[in-house]
Amino acid sequence: MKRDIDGSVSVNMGGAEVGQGLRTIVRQIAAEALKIDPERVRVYNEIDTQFSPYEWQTIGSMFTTQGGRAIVRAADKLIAILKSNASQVLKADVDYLEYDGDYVYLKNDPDIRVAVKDINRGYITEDGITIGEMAQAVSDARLPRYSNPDKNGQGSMGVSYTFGATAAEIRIEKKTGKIIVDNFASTFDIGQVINPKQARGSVTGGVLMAIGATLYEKLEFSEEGKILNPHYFKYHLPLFKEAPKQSVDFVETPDAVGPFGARGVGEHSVIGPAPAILNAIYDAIGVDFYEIPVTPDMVKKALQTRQEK
Amino acid sequence: MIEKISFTINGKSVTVEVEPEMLVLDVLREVLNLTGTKHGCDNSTCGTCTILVNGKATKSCNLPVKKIASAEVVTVEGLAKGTQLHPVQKSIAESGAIQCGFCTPGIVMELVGLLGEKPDASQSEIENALNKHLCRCTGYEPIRDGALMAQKLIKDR
Amino acid sequence: MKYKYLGKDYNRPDAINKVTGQAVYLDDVRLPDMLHAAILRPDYAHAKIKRIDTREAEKMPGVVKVVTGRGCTFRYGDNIKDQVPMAIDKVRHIGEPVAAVVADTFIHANEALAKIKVDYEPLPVLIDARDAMKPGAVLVHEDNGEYWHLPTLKPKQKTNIAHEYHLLKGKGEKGFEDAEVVIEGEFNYPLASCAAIEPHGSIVWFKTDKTIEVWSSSICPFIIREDLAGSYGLPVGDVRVHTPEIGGCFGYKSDITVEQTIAWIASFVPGRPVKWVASRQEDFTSTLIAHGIRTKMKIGAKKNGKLVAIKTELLHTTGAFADTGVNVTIASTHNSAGPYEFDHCDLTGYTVYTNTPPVGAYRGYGHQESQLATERMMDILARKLNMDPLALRELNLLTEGKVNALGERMWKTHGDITNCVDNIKKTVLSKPMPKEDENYYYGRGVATVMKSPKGAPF
Repeated sequence: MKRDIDGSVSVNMGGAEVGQGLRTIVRQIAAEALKIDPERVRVYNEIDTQFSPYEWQTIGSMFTTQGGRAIVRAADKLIAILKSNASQVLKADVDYLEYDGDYVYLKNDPDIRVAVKDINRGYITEDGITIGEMAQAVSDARLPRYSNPDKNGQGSMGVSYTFGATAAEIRIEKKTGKIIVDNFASTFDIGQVINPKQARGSVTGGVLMAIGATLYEKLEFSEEGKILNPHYFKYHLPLFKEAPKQSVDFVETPDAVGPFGARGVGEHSVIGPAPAILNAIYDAIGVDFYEIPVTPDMVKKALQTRQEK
Repeated sequence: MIEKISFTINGKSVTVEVEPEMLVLDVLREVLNLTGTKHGCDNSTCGTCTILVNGKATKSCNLPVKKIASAEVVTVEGLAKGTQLHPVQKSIAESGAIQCGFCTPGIVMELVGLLGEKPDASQSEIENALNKHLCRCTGYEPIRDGALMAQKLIKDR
Repeated sequence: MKYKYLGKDYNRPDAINKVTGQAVYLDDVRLPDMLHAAILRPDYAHAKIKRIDTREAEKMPGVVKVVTGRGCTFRYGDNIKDQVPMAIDKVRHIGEPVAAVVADTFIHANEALAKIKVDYEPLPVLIDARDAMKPGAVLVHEDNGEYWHLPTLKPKQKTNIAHEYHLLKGKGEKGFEDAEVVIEGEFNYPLASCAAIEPHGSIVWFKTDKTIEVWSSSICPFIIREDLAGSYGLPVGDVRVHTPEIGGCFGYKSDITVEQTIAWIASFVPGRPVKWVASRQEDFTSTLIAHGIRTKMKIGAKKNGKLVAIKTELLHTTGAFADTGVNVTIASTHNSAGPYEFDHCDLTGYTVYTNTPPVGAYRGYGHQESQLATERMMDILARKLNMDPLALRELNLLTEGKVNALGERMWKTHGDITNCVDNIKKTVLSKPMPKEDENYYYGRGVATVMKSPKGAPF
């Protein structure tokens, strides 16, 4: 995390943006931690192992929690450097000083202050000598207490949890057995929501992926092991008209680990749809299915069997 | 047999020397170095290759280049004027319709084509147009919102 | 707590790049003097390679080199080193790389590919984990057990079991003695694909200064860097990996996938970058696929709905290589208890070699596969106990203080699932819904879910 000469900030991390909106929340979390407007935070556009800080895999819905925590810790270090530079200028010990984004000032007299712009690269004294450190900081974070399984296969292997509840409303076309998902509702407790539009977009996308798994998607293998449908359309991804109306709500119980109490949600949306829809099928026609995808043919056959009974 | 084929691309005249059966998508990406149009599948089902040919949204992955001789072709690179975005681009960018962005150029071109021809397109026509594009990220809702926003912006102009 | 910049809809900073086509994805990267690779896939999903004749292919226009796996002496993998960059003496799945052509254009490379002749000796093909577990089944990896693997993994030699994971909580299966009602079921979440709209692709450049530079549609550049440095005997700092804009990942670009193969190919044409982008078919057959988990579950409860014991047996059709799938098996197994407290758990997961493409991460990482079973079983149990399905769940949810299958105690700060359930009740279930009309049957179903991340080993 670097503070540039005009007080704006550049943030460089190893976390990969894949569409989930990582770049946006890096900006917001850095802004909150540094008390400056997100417009003044520049986020990296590319990862290059020569320059980027180390990151394992950007997976597990962990980046908000872990990456966010690294940002907050780096911001704390950066602020400490600014205070250290300022203490020389204001001639006061660091613990007398406060930081508000653009100024470092004396706690009990805010008018006694120095602008962050003037101490980003140290401080130039009257005679042209620069003292102090550059406002740059590096930090990292990992999931605390993460462990291997013990002899019982148990252990601290989860650490951070996101819980949720989901519901599906479907309709089954009598003539064809086609299943139409009319509504899908998801409620997740993701702690402090950082960007509501993006969080919602993550859930709506994940729900549709799982609806794909529930109703359409399966790799078909011949007996010889050839994949028979390795193309779009034959391997059917849900289309616009197959998307349900979705309602997405978030509960905000602050997390212990994540920045400002935020928690991840990138993957959680894909878990509910398959069982919720299969449970809804039982509610509609009294038939239990035990595997997916549930195709119109399977439903028609089940309806016929039910009729015969 | 290599042939000379001429057309206009984003307002500029251009002549390429290629096999007449070469696909327009490959001509755009490999010969003209316009990489904004994407290659997402091999059986014309994903829509990421969509461009405008004489104002109409057209897939470029199954179109031999000889078919665009003398045509007016527009790709996503031809929409913005300097830093000023086309209203469709502005709306799609601001509505949450973009996550990974790979389906975005194709959808933008589809909407520019539709709303260019029919600014009063019905919601149903807009939805039919969106139904031709695969998106794995968004669940489609915000893309529809962006499309309706774009329509409003275009009509208010 | 009110925050100034959180809880607000700031627009993504890359929106304009993406909407103008200026964002650079892997296939948009062009380097001077770049070569193109086309990769030959096998005619069989399981076969010994007797002979590869590349002479005719080498003479085709534009061809610079034709590459096979002969001479490859290393295996790679972060959990189990069972992977090879190109098939050496046998092929194990229909998408495996057998040979490759490097040429000046992609069209020339593809045309030459058709001229490579391979003689195979077909072997029996295993598609389903259940068949691969049968005694006497052909071995996908004859050396199973002899590969380097993490000390926590347990391969069973002379079988197709790459890992067997057990979890025991409380009395395990003996816990069913305390149950008053027991139900069983078997569920399948079949093999599928992340199918991101941007296919995989990689550019690898063995440079004249003996460093390696890589561009890849991958989200683990540091893993690629360390893996390639290890395989080619270079200091880690001499391998440089770039991640351009990525058109969707969903998991199957989060492990090292095609990069080792492209590096192997590029190592034969040092000094020039080699680019390969998957065709849509190759993206399905030759990268990583998903799921393939069959869950057998037994749940025991008291008549009042209090859950007592769960026994899960999970078979994972992990495919030809288990390195990228083994952790999915583990996560799916211990999370099969779902968001509930069971006093007694006996959970087993098998990572099984088969002749299908290798399975990797898919958004959800093992949770949706086994929780399909859990959430269906809860509804079936509710029916048997004559209870409302949500009420049954609410009696057992992992709220503060409860202990999950892993032995972790839930904190308040893990989240409030009861609140989530209440919200669903309020916003969905309280509204009336028709049961049937002339054309349709209507139905409603619920599921409560949980997920935890997979932590980095270092």
